[in-house]
Amino acid sequence: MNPFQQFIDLHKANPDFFEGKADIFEDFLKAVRNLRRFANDLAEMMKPDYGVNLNGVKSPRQPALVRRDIPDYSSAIITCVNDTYYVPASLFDGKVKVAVYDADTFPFGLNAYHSLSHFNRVFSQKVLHISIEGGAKLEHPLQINNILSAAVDLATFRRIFIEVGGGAEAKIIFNDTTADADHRYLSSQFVDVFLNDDAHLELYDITDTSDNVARLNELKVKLKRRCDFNLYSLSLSAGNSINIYDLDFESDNSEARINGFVIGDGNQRIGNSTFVNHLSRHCRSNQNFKYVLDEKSHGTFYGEIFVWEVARFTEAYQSNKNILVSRDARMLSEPQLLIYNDDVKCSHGASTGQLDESALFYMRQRGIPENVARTMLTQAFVGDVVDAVKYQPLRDRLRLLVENRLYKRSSRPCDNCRMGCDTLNRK
Amino acid sequence: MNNERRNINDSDDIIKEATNSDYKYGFTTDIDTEVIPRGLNEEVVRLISAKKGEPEWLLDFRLKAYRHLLTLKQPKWAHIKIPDIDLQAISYYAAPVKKEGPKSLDEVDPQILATFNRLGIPLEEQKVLSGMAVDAVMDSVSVKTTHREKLAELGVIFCSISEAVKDYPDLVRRYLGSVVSYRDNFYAALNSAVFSDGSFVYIPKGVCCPMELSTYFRINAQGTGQFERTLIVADDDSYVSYLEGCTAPMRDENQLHAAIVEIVVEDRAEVKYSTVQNWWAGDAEGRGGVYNLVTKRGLCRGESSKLSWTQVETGSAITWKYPSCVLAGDNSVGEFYSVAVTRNYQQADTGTKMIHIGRNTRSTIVSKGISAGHSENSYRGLVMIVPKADNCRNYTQCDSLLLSSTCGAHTFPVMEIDNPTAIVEHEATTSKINEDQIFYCNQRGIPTEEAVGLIVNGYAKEVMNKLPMEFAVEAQRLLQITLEGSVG
Amino acid sequence: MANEKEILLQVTGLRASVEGKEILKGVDLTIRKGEVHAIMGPNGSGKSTLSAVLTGNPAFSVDAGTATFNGKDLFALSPENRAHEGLFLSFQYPVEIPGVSMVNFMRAALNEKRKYLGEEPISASDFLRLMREKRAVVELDNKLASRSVNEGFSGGEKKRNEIFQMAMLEPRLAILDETDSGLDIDALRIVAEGVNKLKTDDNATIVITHYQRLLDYIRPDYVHILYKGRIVESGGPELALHLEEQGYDEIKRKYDNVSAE
Repeated sequence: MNPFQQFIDLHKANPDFFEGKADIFEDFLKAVRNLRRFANDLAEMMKPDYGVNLNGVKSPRQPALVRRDIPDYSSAIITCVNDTYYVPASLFDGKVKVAVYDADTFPFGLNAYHSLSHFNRVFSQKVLHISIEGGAKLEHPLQINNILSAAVDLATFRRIFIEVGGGAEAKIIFNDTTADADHRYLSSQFVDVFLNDDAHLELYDITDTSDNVARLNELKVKLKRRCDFNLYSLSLSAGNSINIYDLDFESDNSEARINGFVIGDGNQRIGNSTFVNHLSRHCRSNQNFKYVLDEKSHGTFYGEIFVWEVARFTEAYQSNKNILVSRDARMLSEPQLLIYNDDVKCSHGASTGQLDESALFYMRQRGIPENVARTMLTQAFVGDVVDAVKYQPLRDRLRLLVENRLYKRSSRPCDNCRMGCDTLNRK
Repeated sequence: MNNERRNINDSDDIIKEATNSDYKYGFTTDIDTEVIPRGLNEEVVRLISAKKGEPEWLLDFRLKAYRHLLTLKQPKWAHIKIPDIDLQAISYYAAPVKKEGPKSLDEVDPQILATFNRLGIPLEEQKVLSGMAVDAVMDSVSVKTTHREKLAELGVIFCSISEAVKDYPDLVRRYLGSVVSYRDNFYAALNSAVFSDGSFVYIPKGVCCPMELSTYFRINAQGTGQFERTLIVADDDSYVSYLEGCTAPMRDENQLHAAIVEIVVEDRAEVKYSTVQNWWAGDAEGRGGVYNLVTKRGLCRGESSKLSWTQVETGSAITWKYPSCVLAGDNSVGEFYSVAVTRNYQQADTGTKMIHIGRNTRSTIVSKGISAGHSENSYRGLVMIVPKADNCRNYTQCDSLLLSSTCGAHTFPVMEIDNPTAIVEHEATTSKINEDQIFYCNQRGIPTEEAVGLIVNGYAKEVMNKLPMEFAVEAQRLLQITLEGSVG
Repeated sequence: MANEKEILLQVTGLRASVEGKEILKGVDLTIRKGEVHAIMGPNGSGKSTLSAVLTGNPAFSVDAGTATFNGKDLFALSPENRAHEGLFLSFQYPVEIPGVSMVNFMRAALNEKRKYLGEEPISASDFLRLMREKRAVVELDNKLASRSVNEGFSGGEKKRNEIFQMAMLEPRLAILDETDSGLDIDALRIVAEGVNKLKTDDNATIVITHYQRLLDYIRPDYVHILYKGRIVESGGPELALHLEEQGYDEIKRKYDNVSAE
C-alpha cells in the first residue's frame, strides 16, 4: 500500500479530498529532506495530532471581534481565521480586487517549488487572490491578519496569490498572531507574488505567534522589469518557524532588498532561508538579517545568492549578523554565493558574537544599569532593520514592539496580540 | 596541448615549456615498475600488506577499512561533477623494482634522480645541504630520504611510513587513524585499505626541527592510483615545518589520488604544513587530469598547540580537500591559508573545517579563489564552536577573483555556533579582476597577461607570504605560469 | 592647602591586574573636594589602569587595597552605581555605539541617576533645555547631539562630547583620561575651558596626562608621577614643569633600580 493511502487511512480523513493528490504527497515526502538544514525539528513540528478543517467549517470566532489594525494609519484589512478568509466587499475603491477561489478551480497556474508548497497543496482548499490594478498608487497598506483560533490542535493551510500590476505601488502587511494560545497549531502558508514591469511593493511579514505554533511559510516572488521590491521578515516571536523566501529576477534592472530580524527566546526554533536568483542583467539585491537569540532558542540562516551566466552587471550583497545572549542559544549560519559570470559585485558577511563589551562599559560608566544598557545595545543591533522599514507609522510602531519584546514586557491587551492597538494608541 | 612523451634535458627547455603554458611536468620516467593487476578485493589488500611485510595489526586495519568501504558510496555533495570512479579499474600497487635498498645517492636509479632534478627537487646531497630534507615519493614507494642521520641526532624521525611501521611500530600504531578514522569518508576508507606509502614524521619533546621537511609526490606509472598516507606527530614543545609538493606526468586518462594526511600536535607544539599542488590538470578541453581527493586533518590535542595549513592549489582536474583543524587543547590555534587557481575545465571544491572544542581557541581562515576559463572554484568551510568551548574566536576571509565570464566561483561557509562567548566573523567577496589596474599596467607598458599575473600575485600575497621562502618563489612562478592565456 | 576639606576619594594600597599581569603595585591617593590632581607618567606606567579600576571596568581586577568614595566602599559598587555616586570618566578612547542616539543615551543616563537618588524622571522639555544649555559649555554642535553616540565623530568632537556628558551628569569626581591626546590647540582650549567652567568647591578632578600642555589650561593643585604601577613622586604644579624640562628619563633612572618585586 502506498504511504499516501496509509496516511489517509490512518487519519480517517475524507478520501475524496485527497483525490488526485497522491503524487503531490509523494513529492512532499521526497522533498522534506531539503528542510533538514534547519535547526527546526520537523518531526516535532508534525507530531501533534492536528485536526484539519477539511469541510471548511467557519470558525466560531467572528473576525469582527478581533481588532488588529495598527494605529496611526488606516489600512484595508483582510482577516483570515485559521484558513478561512473574510474579505471586505471593496478595497481601495476597486483598485484592488480580492477573491477567494476553490483551490481546484483556481484559474491561474499554481506552481510547486519546494517541499513546503507540496505540503500546502495537499491540504489547502481555498486560494486568496489579490490583484492590484496597474498604475494604482496605494497610499495605505493592505493588511492580512492571520489569526489562529481553535478549540483543538489544528493544522491550517493558506494559499495566497498576489499580482501587482505594471507601475503599481503598494504595501502589503502580513500579521500572524495567535488568539487561543493554549492549543498547538501547524500554520502553513504559501504565497506567490508577481510583480509586473515598474511595480513597487513593500511586503511585511510580521510574525508574533505563541510558542505553540509551528509555522511553515514560503514566499515566492517573481520580478519583471524595473521593479522595486522590499521584503521585511520580522520575527518578533515565532515559535517554531521556517520561512523560505525565494526571489527570481526574471527581467532586467530590478532591485530588491530583504531585511529581517529574529528575536528568539524560550525554546523557539526560527529558520530563515533566502534564495535570490539573478537570472537577468543589471539587477541589484541586498539582504540583511539579524538574529538575537536568548534562552534556549536556536536560529538558522541559510542564504543563497545565485548569479547566472546571463546575469551580467549584477550587484548582490548579503549580511547575517547574530548575537547569542545566553549559554544555551545556538546559531547556524550558511551564507552562500554561487557566481557564474565575472561582471558582478557580490559579497556576503556573517558574524556571530556578543554585544560590544567596551560599549557596555561605556554606558555603565555613564550610570546606565547593565540590563538596560544591554537592551539598548540589542535594540540598536536590530535597529538598522527597523530603520529600513519605509512606511513610517509601522516603523515607529515596530520600534516600540521591539523594545517591549526585548524588555519582555507583556503588552498584549487583546488576544495576545502584541500590536496592542487600543492601549498604545491612547498615548 | 601535446601528449607525446617528451625528453627535456636542460632547464632552459623546461622554462620554455612552462612559458608556453604547457604542462611543465608532463614527462614519464622509464624505470622498471612492479605493478599488481588492476582491481580491488580483499586479496589485493592482503597482497599489498604482504608485499610490504606488514604486521598483523596493520593488515587488520586495512581489512576493516576495506570492509567499511564496501558499505559506502562515493560522496556527491561537493560542487563538482565527478564521474563514478571504477575502483576495479585501478592498480593499487606500483613500486619501482628494487635492486637492494639504496644506501647512498649513487645507488638510486639515475633516471629517478633525473626526474626529481627536472622537478627542481634538490635531491643531490650538496643541494640538500643547503636546506631541505626530502622524502621523495615516486609513485608509491619512498625512494630516498635525505638528511636522516642529521635529523636522527636530534631524535627526529623522518622516514617513509613503511619503514616507520617496521622501525617504530608502537608510534605508528598509536597514532595511525587517530585523527582521520578509516570510517571518516569514502576516500579515507579507500586510502586506509590500500595506502602504499607516504611520510612519517615524529618530532620529540622540546625539539625545534632545524630544517624544513619536504616530500615530493609524483604519480608516474600508468593507471595507478596513488594512495599516500602521511602521519606527523609533534610532541610537547616541538616545532616542525613540513612541505609537500605534488606533480604528476601528463596522461590521457584520469588518475586517482586519494591521500590522507594526519597531524597530531601535542602541548605547546607547532606544526606548519605547506602544500604546493600542481598535479596535471587535464588539457584545455577538460580531458585527463588528476582527481585529487584528499583528507587532511590535524588534531591540536595539546594546550596552546598550533597548526597552520598553507596551500597553493593550481593543478588537478578535480580537487576535493579540506585541510582541517580540530582544536581540542585549550588555547590552541588553527590557521588555514589557501590560494586555489582553476582554469580550463578544472573543478576545485576546497576549504577547511575549524572545530573549536577547547577554550580560548582561535582560528583564522584566508581563502583566495581565482577562476578562469570554464572552471568551477568553490570554497567550502565549517566553523564549529561546541557548547563548552568558551571565548573562541574565528575570522574568515574568503575572496574570489573571476577572470572569465564562463567560470564559476562559489562560497559555501557554515557557521555553527553553540557558545555565546564566541566571536565568529565571515567575510566574502566576489569580483572580477580590476580593469583599471590592468589599464594602469598597460599604460606603463606591461602587457595584459603579465599584468594579470602581477595583480593576481598581489591578490594572493597574503597567503603566499605564509609559505616558506623556497616554496614561495616556486609558487609565485607557478601562479604566473598557470594564469597565462587565462584572461578573456 | 586646605586639608580640613572633606575627603572625596581615599585609595590605599591598590594593586590591580589585567589578564593576570599586575599593573598597579600599591597606589595610595587622597582627593578632597575642590582639588585638581594631575597624574603623569610615561606610557605603560598604569595611568589608564588606575582610571579603569576606579570606574569598575570588568576587564581589570583589583587584587588588593581599598578605595572609599563619598564614604562608600567603591569596589563594592557596580560601575553604574559608581557613576550614580558621582564618578565620571572621560574616556581616552570614547566608544562608538552605532544605533544608540545621543539623546536616548543621555536621557537614560540622567534618569537612572535620578532614580538612584530617589528623584522623578526629568520631563522631556526640561531634558531638552538641559541638553541645549550644556552643549554650549563645550560648543558642541546640535547635529552631533542628534547622532548615534560618538559614531562618525572626529577625535576632537569625541573629546568635546565627553565633557558635554560630564556637564550633563555633574559628577563629584571627574577623571579625565588623556583628554588632551589627539586634540589641536583650539579644541584643547575649548575642552579645558569646559572643564574649568564645571569646577566648583564641591567637586574634584583627576587629570591623567602624558604632557604638561593640558596643565597650562587646567591648573592642578597636586601633581603625582606614576611609574611602574606606583606613585613615585608627588608635589605641586612645579613638579609637572620640572618634568617637562627633564623628560621622564630622570624618573626612569631614579626608579629603575628600585625593585618591582
